Amino acid sequence: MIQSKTELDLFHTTEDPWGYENNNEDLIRKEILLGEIPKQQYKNVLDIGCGQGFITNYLPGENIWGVDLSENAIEFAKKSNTDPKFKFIQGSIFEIDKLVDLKFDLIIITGVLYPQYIGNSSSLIYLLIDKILATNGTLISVHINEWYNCQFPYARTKQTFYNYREYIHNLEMYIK
Amino acid sequence: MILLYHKIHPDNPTDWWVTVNSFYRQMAEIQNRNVVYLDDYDHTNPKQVVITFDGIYKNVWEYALPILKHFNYPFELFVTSNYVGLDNKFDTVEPNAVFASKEELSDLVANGGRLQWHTKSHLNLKQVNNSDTIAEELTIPGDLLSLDKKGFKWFAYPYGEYNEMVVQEVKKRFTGAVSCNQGNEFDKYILNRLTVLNNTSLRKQKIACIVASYNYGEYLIDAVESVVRQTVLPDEILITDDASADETQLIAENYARKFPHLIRYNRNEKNLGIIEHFNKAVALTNADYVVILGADNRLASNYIEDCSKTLERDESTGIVYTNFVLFGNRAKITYLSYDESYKGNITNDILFQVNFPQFNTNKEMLAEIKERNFIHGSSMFKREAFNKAGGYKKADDPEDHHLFTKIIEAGYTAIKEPKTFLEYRQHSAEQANNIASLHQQINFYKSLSAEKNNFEKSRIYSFGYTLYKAKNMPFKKLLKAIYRRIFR
Repeated sequence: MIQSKTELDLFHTTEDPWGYENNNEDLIRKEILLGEIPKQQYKNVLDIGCGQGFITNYLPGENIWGVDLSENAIEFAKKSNTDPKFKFIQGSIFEIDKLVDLKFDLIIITGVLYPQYIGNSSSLIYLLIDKILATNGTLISVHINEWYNCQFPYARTKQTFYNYREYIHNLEMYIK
Repeated sequence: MILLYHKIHPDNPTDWWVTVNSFYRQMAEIQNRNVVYLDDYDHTNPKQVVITFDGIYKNVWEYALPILKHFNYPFELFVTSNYVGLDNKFDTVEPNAVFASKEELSDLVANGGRLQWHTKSHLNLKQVNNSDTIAEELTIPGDLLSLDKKGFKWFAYPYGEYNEMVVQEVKKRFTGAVSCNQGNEFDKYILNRLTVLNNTSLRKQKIACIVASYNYGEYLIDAVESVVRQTVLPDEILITDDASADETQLIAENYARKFPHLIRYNRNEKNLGIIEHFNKAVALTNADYVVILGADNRLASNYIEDCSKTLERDESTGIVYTNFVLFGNRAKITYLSYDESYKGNITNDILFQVNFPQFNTNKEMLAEIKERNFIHGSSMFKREAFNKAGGYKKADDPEDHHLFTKIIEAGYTAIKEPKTFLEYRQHSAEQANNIASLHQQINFYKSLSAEKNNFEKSRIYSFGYTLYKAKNMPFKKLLKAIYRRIFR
């Protein structure tokens, strides 16, 4: 069964549970993602599955939201970043259209669309993300290729693969 | 047809749980039917469908409601009142699931749901002959009644079972009732419902997707992945190979092994050329609707869903076509060659959209198609129309243009589906591998090594794989030669 909020909260009782901050491969994947974001002005930016803010804190834009199912992760994220343009909210991807009443011109989703978190529900996730992605908005998805089974219903402007830990990362960019 | 669901969830630990993706697909499959409330249901009308849920579980509110709203369907909710806001601990066989709260039931009603009655305690009424007990189970508490002014006119028998006395009591209180196993199709007080399972298909017409490769092995993974990631999967996928001298066979055979009930592989021992090859491929499939995807192109993830919906709508429709988006290193050149009226948006100088026209009459359509082709080769067509037109034929114009002209001349219409598109790769024949497609192949060989069989444990395999992983590209030709030798 998909992981519950309780399980994720248990995991996020410690800071940086996956050891991102001290792992070179994670620092590299952050740089790759940040480098791929098209250089333009973004008004509203959303990081879905932001965890403790490892990527969120470096995203460009006027207003940046980070959403994660784990309350504990959100608490760590808030502590790590007190800049008022960053807003961290606890919530599920399945209620993502109800958490912030806005259209986003940039949405980042990294390490979320795996069976352990979403089971067989990709069609619903496409619907929900479509509701909050602005027309001409950019969507960037970064996932371990072996575990990733999605394709968003927009034209794909880019796909790149690179080594990440013992896996291959698949970075896809779509424009609505 | 009356559909019966219990739980909609990302997982399906038992048959009573339908996955969110399956539920989405099933809802997509009834888009050309009339979805109605039970009040409006006429069992003699085969176009009508009623969607019902028993429980009501919270996961219906969480996962089914946004999908029902998307399709704008009305639906019926048979509530067992004792469990509102609690969970199913009483049901020791089933995994734990929470029932919807009153607030969630209200939200369901506000979004097209109608509350109906399913007893207080879900007691099996078949053996009950005490009229007080029956009356007690059939009485709806006032606080629930007030949640839906239009509802509570219909009743669902717990476990689908009843006796004559129960039916008589139900008749006094309700306009109708539904069962699931002990009823029939026409008696308003014992209407049967179809218990929908994960693999239930609600559309009669089947869909085939043919992925055709002639030395497009380097793009084949990208093409096939775009098909297996569709929101509505085709019923059959045929990867067909016109005697390619590249990695097509290795990749295709492994896909056929990975998806044994979905993907088949055909290899022509001799190169047949496009017309004979495509005719053979269509004949190798059985489905009513057919899409032929060149192995160098991709389908948007809603392609099968939206094209099949539009193709099903009218009997006279023979073809559904879409816009396409050009990509690849020759995309711009191709784009510039199009008529001004066809040119669409350019995204980041990477994607070039080509918009095709729509027509009101067959006459206008025929006039345009004789001027230029606006129906691309991956348009979805009906097998029946294909057969009437005589399939692909040798002609002065390209084979797909010729076929589609013949289908329209045979009296079928071609309809454009604007909500989806084909991703149409523009590349030069001698183009070097692009980095992404090369990397995709590396991933593919890596995944093969993860599920090793005897061949894959062999030295020759690991040697080949090492070469593929090597950053030194000159080795690639050697590797191709090795694989070709093995698989010839």
